[in-house]
Amino acid sequence: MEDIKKFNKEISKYFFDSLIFLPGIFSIKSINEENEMSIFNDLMVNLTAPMLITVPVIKNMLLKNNGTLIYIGSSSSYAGFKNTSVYCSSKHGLLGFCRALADETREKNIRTTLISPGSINTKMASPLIQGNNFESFIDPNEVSDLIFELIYNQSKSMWQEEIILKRRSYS
Amino acid sequence: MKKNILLIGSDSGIAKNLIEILLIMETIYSQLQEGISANLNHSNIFR
Repeated sequence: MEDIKKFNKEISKYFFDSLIFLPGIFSIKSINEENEMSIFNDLMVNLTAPMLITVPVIKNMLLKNNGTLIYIGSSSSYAGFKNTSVYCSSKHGLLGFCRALADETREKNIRTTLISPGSINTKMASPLIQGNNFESFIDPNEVSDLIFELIYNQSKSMWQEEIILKRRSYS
Repeated sequence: MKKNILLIGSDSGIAKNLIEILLIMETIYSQLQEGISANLNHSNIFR
């Protein structure tokens, strides 16, 4: 928490046009394997940290009446999957946060987007490798391209607040 | 247009790719600012 306070103090000195929050922890565990620390850590990275970091960034965006906020959700933002109850909770929470944030700041010209992909072909998805074709997972380059488009090619009259990305193939 | 972006992420996956794209954009922007032809087309920006 002290690290985040120090970090937030530093970033509050700057005006950012965009915040892109990408980190996440994904672990497969039944609820009876969870403990205080694993629950706390996963919620901290996936939900609390993006909320904490948003505060100083958006304060300055509101002063300028302009800003773009992009967060990464998951298919678990919209559904519950067994053995990932903490992860699903954190991603559902992030969806709620983004929806409320968008509603609160939309008219101040702050644009909020939650991108919710299925499994992406990165190290984070390695717990899913058993029984799945890793090659069919979403290409991280394509997600990067999408984020780039959201930042650099913005429409004047509309904004996409929630984007759900599905794999094109599961085989 | 040059943007001031706060990117929070690790050095892998989406973040790594995005940093590469943004750095290329920054380079192109700087070169254009200096009046030097970047000689890059749209597809170069994305890979």
